[in-house]
Amino acid sequence: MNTDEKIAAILRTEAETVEPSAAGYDAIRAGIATRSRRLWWLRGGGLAGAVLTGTALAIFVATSGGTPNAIDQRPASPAPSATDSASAAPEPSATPPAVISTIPDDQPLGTIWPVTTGAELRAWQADPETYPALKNADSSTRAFVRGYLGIDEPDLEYVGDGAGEGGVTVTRRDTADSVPITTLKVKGFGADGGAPWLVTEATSSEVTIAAPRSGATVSSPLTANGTYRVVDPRFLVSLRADGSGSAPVELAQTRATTGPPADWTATLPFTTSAGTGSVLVTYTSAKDGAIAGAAAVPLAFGAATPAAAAPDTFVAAREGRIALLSARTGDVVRWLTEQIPGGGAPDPQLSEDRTTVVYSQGAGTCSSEIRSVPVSGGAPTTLVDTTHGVVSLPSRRGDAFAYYRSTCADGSTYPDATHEIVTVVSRHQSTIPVDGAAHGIVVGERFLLYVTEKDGATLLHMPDLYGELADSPTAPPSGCQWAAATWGPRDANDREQVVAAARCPTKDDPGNTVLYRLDADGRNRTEIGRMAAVNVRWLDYDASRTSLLLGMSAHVGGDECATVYGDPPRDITCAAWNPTW
Amino acid sequence: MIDAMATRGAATERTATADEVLVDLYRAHYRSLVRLAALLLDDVGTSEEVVQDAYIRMHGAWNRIKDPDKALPYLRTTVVNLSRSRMRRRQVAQKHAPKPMPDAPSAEYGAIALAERDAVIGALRTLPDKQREALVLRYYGDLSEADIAAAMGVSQGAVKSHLHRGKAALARHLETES
Repeated sequence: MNTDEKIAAILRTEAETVEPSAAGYDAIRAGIATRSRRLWWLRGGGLAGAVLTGTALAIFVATSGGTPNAIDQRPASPAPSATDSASAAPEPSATPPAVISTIPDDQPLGTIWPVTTGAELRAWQADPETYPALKNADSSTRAFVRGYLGIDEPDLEYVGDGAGEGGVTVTRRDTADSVPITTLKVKGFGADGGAPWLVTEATSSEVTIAAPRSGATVSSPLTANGTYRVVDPRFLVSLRADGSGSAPVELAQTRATTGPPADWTATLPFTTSAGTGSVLVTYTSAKDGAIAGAAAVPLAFGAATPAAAAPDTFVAAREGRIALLSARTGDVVRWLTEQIPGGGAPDPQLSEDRTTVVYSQGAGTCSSEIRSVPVSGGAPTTLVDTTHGVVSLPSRRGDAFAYYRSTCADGSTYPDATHEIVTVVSRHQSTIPVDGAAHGIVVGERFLLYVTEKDGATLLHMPDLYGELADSPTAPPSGCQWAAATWGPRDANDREQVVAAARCPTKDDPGNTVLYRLDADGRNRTEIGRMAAVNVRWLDYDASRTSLLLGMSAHVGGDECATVYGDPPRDITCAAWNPTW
Repeated sequence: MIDAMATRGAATERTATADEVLVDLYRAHYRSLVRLAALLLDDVGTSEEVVQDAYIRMHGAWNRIKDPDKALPYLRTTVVNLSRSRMRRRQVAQKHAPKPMPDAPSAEYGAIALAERDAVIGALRTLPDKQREALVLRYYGDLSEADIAAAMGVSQGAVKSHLHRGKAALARHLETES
């Protein structure tokens, strides 16, 4: 076997270890449906919608003699079972239904997912192939279990008639003696009670949702509660929006607080621009961690919860200068400084009111300054001069200011250097000794946030800005090291929470990174995201705490890049050191 | 009203054609494209997402592609571009932890030493993107240099160069393991 043959054989062998999941075709169809829905929404209530509605009504009157206000759906051939979809993709496209719903666009249907409003119902009726699983009750419940509950297992048993009062009960076959996972109420939204078949409620005998009630209009923070019968429960309560994506969007998630007499409660602060969503409560099996029970109700969101748009611009270091960059194109909008001597990291941080940037600037051997420059352009101002030694990592918020200071003599005494963080709050100055090197200082409302590293071990610190409370640093999760942290969205008690990135290398991915949310005292660590093959170095929320900006360098290539965290992420630009907005 | 119905009928016809092509291409090529993406990327979940995204884009672009013969090259190019983008962007997998590649070799190719395969695959993953793409398209995709150039959006000369360098790098690992 020559080299070419060997390489080809190895690649084929490696490739054939990969077996795609069974849900590929459904995912593609869901993506196409999403795309169609987006296009439909873009057209809004404009010409296309008007044309389709007008056409449909005319046909309805001619063929049925009914009232044009009804929802109708011609009988559709059953869609293939979801579990069959990988090996035999369903044949495409039946004839679209002739009659389109006239329910107002924004009116909620009282359904959980994926069709929840009059506009979405109309879009589906215009082209059922965008989501063929809704053509019959059976495939609709299966699609719901997979797409909404996230249970993608072949051994589920579906008992009951989707069109019947009892609903469809979903149980795992291998645990026949256990309680069902959930019972789904399914309703046909066609005029004849037929397709589209949509899930209106998911109930469980082990956990109930008392509030919010099905179909309630809610605003932030949402307080949910209910009852349970499970022994030693760990309920996860999720608030979800029915966005334009193929999957529901997680707005907030928390562990429920439980107490006698078998009541659970959870508070979920959120922001969203979606009109409809749902609350989902799940508990997992102690045996294997799989979802053992689930209950969900549909919701509508009040008008007072719009999602703030991400900033149009951000600040970062590029080519040894600080620049204001476009968050859309990554292009430089304005250079804020000249070339900074030494070309080192100037640690820029944009103020919350987005008017000034503080940054550090080298001023010769073993000395540096902290400066401020207006975002609108203008001359820098020195905030901390060279007589203070090596100063860096400035952070300012309101009347609180902090920076990092280390001693240095002739540039060669780093092993013996002392490191400290200086805080200044309303002219009251204090110092916090730092054991090791610090990075990522961020001033919060009452606490300071930074990461230290010593002998390869990292700690997350949240000391009191006023020096009144002892610092109790938080160690990273096992197998991980803290990479960066910032102050994030507020909790139910209106306290800022910490969002931190931890690098958790795996055998295959040294850049495996997990995002966590923690209370301001470092407790209640919750995983909120996971990224592959990255090296997150900076995190920064915008002032509204809705858009998280990641400064990162890929371990392949090594470029510093700015990326907006989301699903999917949106890369802004590379060659952006220490982005902040 | 008649115009509106005619317009809608035409749109439905185009969609049906796109659906037919989608189903055919899914049946014939989905698995191999996921495998190709898995060689370019580093986890199966991301590879599936990339390939699904490529199918969705192909479906959406059908009015521009029109020719079924061009659909597979379009898909392949999209998979390569999206994979490259994912590598560069470090795809966020918020809701699903990456699924690791299985370690065990298939019985069919049991003759190939696992250590050698690991070394070569490990080396493949450290290669620059374009060398890796060229090698995967050549040795797994079995494409000609012209087709590789089209899929990668580079010249045939560049493909030759990427293949030469990439192959030399992998050959060193083969020699080491031998």
